[in-house]
Amino acid sequence: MSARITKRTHDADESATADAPQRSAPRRRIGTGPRGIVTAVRRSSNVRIGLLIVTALFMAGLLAPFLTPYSPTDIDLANTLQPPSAEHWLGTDELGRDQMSRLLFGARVSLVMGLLGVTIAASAGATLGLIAGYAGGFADSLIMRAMDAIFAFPALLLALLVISITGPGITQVLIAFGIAGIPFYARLMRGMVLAIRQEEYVIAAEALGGSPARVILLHILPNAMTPLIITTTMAMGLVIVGLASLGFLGLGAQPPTPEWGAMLSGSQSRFFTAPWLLLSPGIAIVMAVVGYALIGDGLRDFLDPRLREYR
Amino acid sequence: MAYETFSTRACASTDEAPVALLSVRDLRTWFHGGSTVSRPVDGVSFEIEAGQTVGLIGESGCGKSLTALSILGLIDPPGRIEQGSEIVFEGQDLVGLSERDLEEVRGQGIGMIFQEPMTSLNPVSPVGAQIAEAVLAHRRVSRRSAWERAVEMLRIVGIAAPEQRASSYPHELSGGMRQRVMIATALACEPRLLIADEPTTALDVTIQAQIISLMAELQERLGMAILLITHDIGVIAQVADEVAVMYAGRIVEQGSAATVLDGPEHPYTEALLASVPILGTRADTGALRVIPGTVPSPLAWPGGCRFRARCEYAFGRCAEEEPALLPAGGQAAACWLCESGSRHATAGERHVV
Amino acid sequence: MLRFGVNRLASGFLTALVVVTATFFIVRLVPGDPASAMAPPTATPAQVDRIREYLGLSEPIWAQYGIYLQHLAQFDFGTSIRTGQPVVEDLVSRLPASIELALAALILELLIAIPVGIVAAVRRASAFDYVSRFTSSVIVGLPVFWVSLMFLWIFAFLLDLFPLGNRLDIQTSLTSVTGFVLVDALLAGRPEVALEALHHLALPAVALALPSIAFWTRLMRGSLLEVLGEDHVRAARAKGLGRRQVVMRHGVRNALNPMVTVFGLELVSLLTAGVLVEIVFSWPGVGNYLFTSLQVRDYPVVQGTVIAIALLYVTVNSIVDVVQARLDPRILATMQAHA
Repeated sequence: MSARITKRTHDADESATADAPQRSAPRRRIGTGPRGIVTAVRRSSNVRIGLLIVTALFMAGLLAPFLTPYSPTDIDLANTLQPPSAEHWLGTDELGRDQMSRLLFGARVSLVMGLLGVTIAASAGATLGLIAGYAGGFADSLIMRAMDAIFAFPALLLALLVISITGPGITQVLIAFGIAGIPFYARLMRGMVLAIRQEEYVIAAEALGGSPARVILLHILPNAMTPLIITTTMAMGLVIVGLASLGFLGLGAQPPTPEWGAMLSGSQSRFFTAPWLLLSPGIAIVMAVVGYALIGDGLRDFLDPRLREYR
Repeated sequence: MAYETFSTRACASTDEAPVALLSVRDLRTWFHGGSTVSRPVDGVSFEIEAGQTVGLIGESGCGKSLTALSILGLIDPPGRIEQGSEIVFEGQDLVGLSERDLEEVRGQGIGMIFQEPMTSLNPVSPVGAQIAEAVLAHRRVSRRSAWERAVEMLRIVGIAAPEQRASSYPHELSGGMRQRVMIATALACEPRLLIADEPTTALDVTIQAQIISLMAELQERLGMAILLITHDIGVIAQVADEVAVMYAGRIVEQGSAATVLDGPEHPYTEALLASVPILGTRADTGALRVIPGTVPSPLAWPGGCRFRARCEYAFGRCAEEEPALLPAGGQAAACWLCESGSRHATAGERHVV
Repeated sequence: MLRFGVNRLASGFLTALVVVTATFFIVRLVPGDPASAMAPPTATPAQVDRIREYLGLSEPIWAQYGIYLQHLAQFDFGTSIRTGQPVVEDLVSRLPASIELALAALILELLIAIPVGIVAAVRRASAFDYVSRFTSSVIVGLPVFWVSLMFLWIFAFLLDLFPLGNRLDIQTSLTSVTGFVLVDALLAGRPEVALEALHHLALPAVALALPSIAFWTRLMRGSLLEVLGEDHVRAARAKGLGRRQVVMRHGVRNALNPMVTVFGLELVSLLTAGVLVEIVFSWPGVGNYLFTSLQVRDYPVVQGTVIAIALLYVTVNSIVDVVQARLDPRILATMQAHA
């Protein structure tokens, strides 16, 4: 410390300016708090398009019963594999079920599952991350090793492993992907805790005998908002695709639940007979993923200091 | 064979009549961001003659570094050098020059060293290679020759065992050594002007002295001019011939180092000098003198004199019109108090020590 | 350097151990008798008993674990119920197909992503940049299996430009030497077969590579942008170096470094995503094998394959870390400083 003080006496700069910036309010890295998000929405077209898509999907799922006269599970063996027509806008599948209603109700399945999976990953992951960052030492190492091990398992394989034991089903898939997502959140929170812990006002709080835990939490929350949202959009995309992939393999949602991936599973053999069945669920999945990706990427690019305009 | 030796150069300069090596006139570097315009360099003019050391002094954020980068054309969008600015180096206006031609000048006509030697060196390349690279950029020599030149430069800047050191990576060297490497790189092609942007700020006090004396020694040998940018008045006092004081994007005082530091005309310079405690005087034991207020924002410079809000002598005229550099005694200051010459020549009560 | 390498391998080994242990316990969670789960449905009680003995089920759990580890160390992953062959043999015979696919995809990715990323970074905020960023955002999230389906449908079925799957036409026969069809064809002096193999490889490789191309492009761009903003790039320009030289020598070279770590992740990701691609394109690789085994509850295969892939991942990652330390001397220094 003394070297810094002696240097100061030579600096015209330091002694001449009386007003140093005050550091009392919770420090917010520019762009990470709620205001940053609002600005991102305003400025980034990517984010706006993404939000539009995601909202449309949620609306579709929410309003599904009102948007279609058919039920997604009504079998009509007289009208199997019908091409798109006035009665069935997107045609019918191999059991005569209306493709459009299956699609709309399928939105519910995918989105809800996505949210659940992300919630599992986020809550477990954030907690573990906070503990690891704050406790440090052995607990930290242990938790991080576990995170590395989970990270080592590609999510799909983990899901396959779980399914091999328990049999296929949507809950199993959910748990598998939930677990697979934990390391992302754990690392994020741990990183935040470690970074903020080193800030001077936390050390000051500790020196004064106060509890740094409260200070840390107070300062983490605003700063973690945007990274959390970014991680979540990524995770949503991954869970939805994961669920669809397993559905495609016949290992996820079981019939008669309308799930986009499962709707695609028979399509390979039907290239000739019913190609329209191939397009609609796929496009739906793509839209969901793209919507979330645009939001996440748009936000992330916005946080990127290099792209910010000169202030 | 491919380049001159040091001795011939040093002899040549003394016979020539003093012609400005570098002449900066009304340099304005503005940043255009959407709807706002920031003007960190807003009308800077000064000259440097061959072999001279000119100090550019001012607080952090007054635009000194940007001035240096502007000279070398290293301003990237959204910043740009505005029309009407003139930077004449050895008879050639650098403003508006093609990138190709600018690359010719950089390193060979004008060299530059930066504040942070650690980050200014490529971390994954040996230091010798980085110096050799500078040589190869301007001279048609073999790589072996360039490497030998690099080793030679390392020796010249005072690094022991240069042959081995040349293969070291930047993180293996101490801060002082890294700065020496930077100097070696900048001087490898013997530029006529060296721009040193805060060369000692990141170094320990003892190393600072070594680097400064190294620079002075090399200047003597190479006969080159130095533009020394710093906020450290002590360094300026040590080596500068001429001094220019910068505030809020403009030069507010200019003159020989001796006259400016001994008898500052502009209130800002005066306050700056007064805030540096001198051992043994009353200022040493009392409270540090401070300039109240903060530097205005380059997004919106105030009208009239830009220092007015913080100046203890401000009066009516200061708010109405911005003063140009007015001659005052042996120097020039942008202050209405100097309208009729040096402040100190008039009534004693204005003379503050 | 050596100490770092050993350290890294040791930590990799630990991770592998965790993975393997987890698998052990997870599989033991199968309801019912593990031995009969591992046995084909036609097994006689005597055969089931032999399996029970093999697994050491009469022993306490920790002894079972010991036996399990012992088997793994001897590369004994059990016997497939479906094929009757040792799992390891099955895996090895199918591995080249998967590797061929993964490698082809990887080469494609690097060939496209790196140049595009560089250009996007250098021409930041240009039309090219915005377009490529938007396209990347869209492509990166596309589900691999759907992309495969679309490719198959459009290019193979509708346009008939490419075959409908498999590594070679049904009629073509080739003796397998290395397992890599391209290599074998050339070895056998039949270049037309090699071309045919490439023809079959094209669609699945592109489908597999597509999301990753988008990912790597953005990574390259981001990494390069970050490096270009650093002081030493500015200092290099101040030396008078040409723009291109600065970008390539000081920018790209430094920017590639952090990308090497992602490399390991990428290989495993390719193998995993490859599972889906293999299924759609009837590609006889490890993924297809795993899937078929899953459908018939062939537990030894599932367990064995999952472990094999996870172990591969850990190994690749450790190697990658060591390579990266070699490339970037700073990492080594920080590691050594902490040691």
